[in-house]
Amino acid sequence: MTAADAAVRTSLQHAADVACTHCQLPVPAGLIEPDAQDQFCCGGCRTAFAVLHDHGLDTHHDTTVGRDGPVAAGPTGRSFEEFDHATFHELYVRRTPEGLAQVDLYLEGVHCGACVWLVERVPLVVPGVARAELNVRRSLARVAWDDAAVSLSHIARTLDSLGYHPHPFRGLEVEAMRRREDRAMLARIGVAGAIAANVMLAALALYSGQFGGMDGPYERFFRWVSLLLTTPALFGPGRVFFAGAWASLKTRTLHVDLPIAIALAVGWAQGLANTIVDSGPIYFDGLATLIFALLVGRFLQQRGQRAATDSAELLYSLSPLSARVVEGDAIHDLPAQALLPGMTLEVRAGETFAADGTVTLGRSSINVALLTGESRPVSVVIGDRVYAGTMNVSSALRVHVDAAGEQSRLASLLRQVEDSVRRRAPVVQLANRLAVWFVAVVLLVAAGTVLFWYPRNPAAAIDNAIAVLVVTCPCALALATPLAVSVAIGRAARNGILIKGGDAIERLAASGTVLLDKTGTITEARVALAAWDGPEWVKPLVLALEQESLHPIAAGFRRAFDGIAAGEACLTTHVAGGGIDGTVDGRHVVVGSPSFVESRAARGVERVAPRPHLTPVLVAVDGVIVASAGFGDPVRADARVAIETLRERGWKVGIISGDHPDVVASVGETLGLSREVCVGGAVPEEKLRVVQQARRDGTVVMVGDGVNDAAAMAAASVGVGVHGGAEACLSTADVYLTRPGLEPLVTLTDGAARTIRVIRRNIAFSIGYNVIGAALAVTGVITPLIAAVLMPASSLTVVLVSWLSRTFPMERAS
Amino acid sequence: MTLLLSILGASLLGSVHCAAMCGGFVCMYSGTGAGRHTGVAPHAAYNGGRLVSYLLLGALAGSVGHGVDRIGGVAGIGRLAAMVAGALMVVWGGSTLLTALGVRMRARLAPRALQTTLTSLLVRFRNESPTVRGAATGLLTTLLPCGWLYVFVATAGGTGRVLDAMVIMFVFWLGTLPMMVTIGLGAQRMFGAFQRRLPLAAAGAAVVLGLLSMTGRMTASPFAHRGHAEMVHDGR
Repeated sequence: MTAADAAVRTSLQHAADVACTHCQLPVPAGLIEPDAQDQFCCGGCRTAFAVLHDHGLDTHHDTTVGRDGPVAAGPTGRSFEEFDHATFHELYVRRTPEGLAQVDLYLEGVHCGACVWLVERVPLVVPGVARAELNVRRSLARVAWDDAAVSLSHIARTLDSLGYHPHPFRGLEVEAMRRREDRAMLARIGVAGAIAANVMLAALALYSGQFGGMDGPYERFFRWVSLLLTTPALFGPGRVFFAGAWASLKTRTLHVDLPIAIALAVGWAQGLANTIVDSGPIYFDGLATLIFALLVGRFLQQRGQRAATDSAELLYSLSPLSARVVEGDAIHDLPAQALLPGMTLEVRAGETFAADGTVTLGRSSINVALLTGESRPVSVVIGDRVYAGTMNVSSALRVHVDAAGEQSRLASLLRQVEDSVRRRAPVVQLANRLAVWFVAVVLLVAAGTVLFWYPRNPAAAIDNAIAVLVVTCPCALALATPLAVSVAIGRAARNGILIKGGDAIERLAASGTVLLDKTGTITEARVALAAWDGPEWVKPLVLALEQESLHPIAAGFRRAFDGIAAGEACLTTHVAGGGIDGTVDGRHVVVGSPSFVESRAARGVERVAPRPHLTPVLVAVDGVIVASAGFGDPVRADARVAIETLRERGWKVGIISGDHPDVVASVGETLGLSREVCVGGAVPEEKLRVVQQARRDGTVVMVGDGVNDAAAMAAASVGVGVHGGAEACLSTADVYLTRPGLEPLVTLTDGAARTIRVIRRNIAFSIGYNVIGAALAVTGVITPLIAAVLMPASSLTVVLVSWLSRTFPMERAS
Repeated sequence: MTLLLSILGASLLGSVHCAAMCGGFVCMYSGTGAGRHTGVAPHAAYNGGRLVSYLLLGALAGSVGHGVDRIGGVAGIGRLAAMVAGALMVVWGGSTLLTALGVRMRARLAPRALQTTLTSLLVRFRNESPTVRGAATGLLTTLLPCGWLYVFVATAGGTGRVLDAMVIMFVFWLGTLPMMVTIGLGAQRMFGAFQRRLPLAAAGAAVVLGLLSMTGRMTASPFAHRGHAEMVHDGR
């Protein structure tokens, strides 16, 4: 054996040793990549593997090798026993045709494709589970199981242990319907696209035949192929246009589907005739492409218009799923829907109230920020009312239920929100109104063309009329607005501004009134130590006392004194609404409100004048008041500049807040706003009233967070939810700002104005193009073929112009 | 007829790789692990879809080839299409042989846009019935950059005639049918030693076919009828 032979043999042997990851056949030595995990024998296998593998389409690759587990939230350790309750099953569990139980669960913590793999392995891990499918985009897991073999709570605990905390998914029917709609539309587009592509292939052959000369039989063959492919496109995916045109005729209104349907029908009929008699032009490629392009445009429109109607699920996750009911000596969990007036609930510290009720045992302080926006906890004693959705902060309470479920205050607030949302949804845009006129004019022009040309040149009459109908297709007009809006929304999203629909952009373009909520919007929503009057040696004592407390003021002390070594506190007593009392390093320390501390200690320091917008807290050590502190909510750094910029652009700015009027006024003063425009002490219903009144003067933009702003935001022309806002706000707001501060608000208004300019430009272009195109078609300068080419060209131009327009600034790291 | 037989033979030869590369798609559309029965309809739809796409590709190649021949005619070069096609095949076959001998090259991925389009279309059809999925998969997977397929497309184009080209693609499809149906219906056995020699055998066949094409031995038309243009081409 020569050296060359040996080399060949060795390389062949090496080739035999390495198998293609995709097809398992040997990889040629020259294609082996030593550092790569996967080896491929050819480009086709590499591509096929990428297509199948990267999107989970494959079932025959082993997916266990080299997968990193997703980084998931920690399990909550809940028992989920309410998932087994009969009421729960009545509400959420359905039966499949095979007799299995099926439930849709919303999973927290789903964020990537690897989550799919984990969740869909549950059937392997839990016997009795038949299927688990995860929709990553909606974080929705559909689980089917044999309820005789395993309980739903067990499945829920398994999911929880994987890091995906499950909730039942409400709004099943709406969701299922939406999915069906989307699928149907996408299938139509897919079929139309596939047919169009294949017809184009045939058309290409015909065109090259036209230039180079094609024999009769072949040409005939391609014409028939085009006809046979286009016909199903027309009566399948294209059916929607005929249905729309028929509806338009029945109701005697002018709809854009009418000229499209006429063009399609006439074009197809003429093509059919010409194919049968084997002479004359055919435009099947144009028709097939037209159907495809129009369906895509329609899909984009539909998506854009599905605006803020998506409220249900997140809203309902605000109130807790279950509650602890006291019956005699026993306590057990019940789903929140099963609560009835007259029951007694036990609510521990840190838990949320599941229903409205009256306190029957215990005293505590509760955080009502969800409903009133008030950042300071409110103390409650026996006989006080508490509301669903608010949080019990310091001690356990027994509550007698007065109103539960749909009757609670939270529920009625959410209903108001939903009503406002529904009323605003469809806005008739300029383009749609123009489209009606457009259709009428086009039909008249086409008819006029036929009448004009028929006596002179009958063949040209039909051709020119078709050219008019095809070239003046309103798709450019119909695309103009949704496209510019989609692009703007995409750009805004990359800037950390999430906009739900084009109507929001329209309204933000012109200046009006901006109403800002205070807590969380203008301020940072943190109770922070703003002033400290006392010696340094007191700080470690205070810190030691406040270490374990849940109270926001304790958190404020902890943040302010971070880094100071604290002692050990013992014998601590929390007094609701007052303060905290304990022994630290042998010294008796008391921290709390002035009335609380003064009742337990003698005045040591000069009584410091209370600062108007700060909550006063005193500290006493061994019976003597030694320090005083002031707590406030700091104003955001960019607030003043942003407000000034908005006023320069013509916006009227005001503050409306649930906080104390004096506090609000003083914050307004620091921002340069007069007292009249700073409204304090407003409950949610009052905020709604103010917004409705302001709307009489023009556009109102309500900026806020928290459920207490939700109704006002829904009633405003545009609702803007701010970074860190509560879930309800996010579902009802038209815009959500993910970056903190008010500066994104300025970016939003500027971007909206620019977008409207782009839309107007697009509409002007569309009209101009249609006028010129129609003129050329009427005079017979362009044939239907050229018209069919020009029409998508106009849409493409609109697409390009919208794409390239700089409505929002380029990406910014979020 | 010899041409068609050699194409059928080559196609049968290479169909082992066809089954291996596209087996994943078969599993995907039939919705099962390979080996479970889903009935004949999805597989019929898949192979039907493949046929339609191959025929259209062939038609396109044939007309392109015809155009190339015309250009060649103007330039005074006869059978330009056959020569171009043949050259392409020799290059492809040759590069495969070279990689087998250890010369470094990179297996190319399809352009990103094509990949994403293909993937998103396949994903959309995921929730349809296996038959619809099969048809869609068959129509779409011809878009994968499969060198072997395009060797035959080039052969078809080299004939310079649309109908001849389509016939060649049809015969190619016939050759792949046994393997594709087999893998669809669950038989998995591949033939060991043959498997290893496969890439070399296919590459060798491509080179031979390419040389035949370039030297004009592939213009035997399966049809008796010839247009005037073809007669002029053959110098008669």
